[in-house]
Amino acid sequence: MNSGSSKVFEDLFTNRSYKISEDPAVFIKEGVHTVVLENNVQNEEKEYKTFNVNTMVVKDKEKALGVVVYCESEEEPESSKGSSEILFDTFSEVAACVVHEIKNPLFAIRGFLQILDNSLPEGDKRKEYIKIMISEVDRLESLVKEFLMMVKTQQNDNKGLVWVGGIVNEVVELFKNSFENKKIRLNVQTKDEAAFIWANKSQLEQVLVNLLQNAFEATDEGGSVEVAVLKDNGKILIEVRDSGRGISPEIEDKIFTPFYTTKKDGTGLGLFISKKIVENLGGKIYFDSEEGKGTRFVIEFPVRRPGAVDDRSKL
Amino acid sequence: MKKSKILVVDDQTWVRRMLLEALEFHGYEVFGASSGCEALQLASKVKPDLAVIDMALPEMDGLTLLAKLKEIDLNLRGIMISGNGENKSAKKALDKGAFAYLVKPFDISRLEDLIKTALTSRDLHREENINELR
Repeated sequence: MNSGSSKVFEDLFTNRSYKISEDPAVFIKEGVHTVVLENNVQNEEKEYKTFNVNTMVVKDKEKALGVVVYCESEEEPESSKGSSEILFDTFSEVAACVVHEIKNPLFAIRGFLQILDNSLPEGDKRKEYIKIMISEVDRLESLVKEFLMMVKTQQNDNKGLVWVGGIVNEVVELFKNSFENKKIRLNVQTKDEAAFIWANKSQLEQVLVNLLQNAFEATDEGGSVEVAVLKDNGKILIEVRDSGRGISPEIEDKIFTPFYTTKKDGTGLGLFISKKIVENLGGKIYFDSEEGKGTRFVIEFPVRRPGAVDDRSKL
Repeated sequence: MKKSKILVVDDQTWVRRMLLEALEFHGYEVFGASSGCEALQLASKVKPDLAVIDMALPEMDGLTLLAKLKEIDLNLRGIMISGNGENKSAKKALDKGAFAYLVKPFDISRLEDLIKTALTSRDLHREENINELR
């Protein structure tokens, strides 16, 4: 039980109101349990605290005399940054600024092109050139945006305990209208309430957005997409399954390669970035697919076991 | 019919000029400012119906400017524009009273659609107020 520092109960609850997101009965079972609390403050982003609870019933020969409960918080150990990490943080900050600054000139170019377009008569050949230039500006914009996302995936900050089911529901909500409009059935299974991982929330959201966007684009009207959160053999799995066109065997090896795309307006960075994010969080991403029948993408994370020594502390 | 007045506030010279020209082309009376202070001075003189404001202005940020513009005219509609595509930033703008939030670069026709809707809502609101006074 050396994964985190011991804290007194008051430390865990200072200025905060928490509710237990799992069955409170966990307290009265003997043994070691991971208890997850979520903050109970309305209109505030969900925040979770986890700690290990050791419960031991003290008995004499016949009856129980009492219960000993020992709590230990399971917080991420504070990491001390090496010089290469500091250098990388500076680089990613600069990259973020550059991307932001590129957006303004791109926007000015795009807008002036639209003004030019409006001033030309219908059927003018130059309208076609303008259309090409606008679509190339859009491609540049997607590229810099995804480049920024890629840089961010390498950052290790802003991590916290993330409820996988909650994130899946949030991302699915973003897609609901698009799926309805395209008449694709969307089935979501997030019943496994206790699936929590240590991650950067917005990065994980980005991965799910990428997978759902791909499923949406690959599936024709009348098809279906299923998203599920499962626990299997000590692992947490997020599955995105579609009944779309599938991935042909010839390109199976290439889909995680940067800049490889089969989409007309794709950048070829979506799956590459998703893979980097998942791997950076200690997980795996893989797929199986049958052409013409559909594809299943799986993201797999190891479950954080109570009392397990955190691998990161060994690094 | 009287032209609606639109104030464009962006410190990026060419972005500001582009927006001004595009909106002028669509029949609006346009005014440009490169900072919050300049925008406030201009607004008290010309009384714009709507302002298109960059979130990241130097000195006074876009949302502070919007609040101050609404002190001059409570019924002013503000459309915030930003290079920041995060939901958090958009939510903050809408919570602070912005009519809409657009991420740069966007299609000018989207801005025009939003301006039309915003101006209609402003007119309706104004009529309601007049009826209440009666």
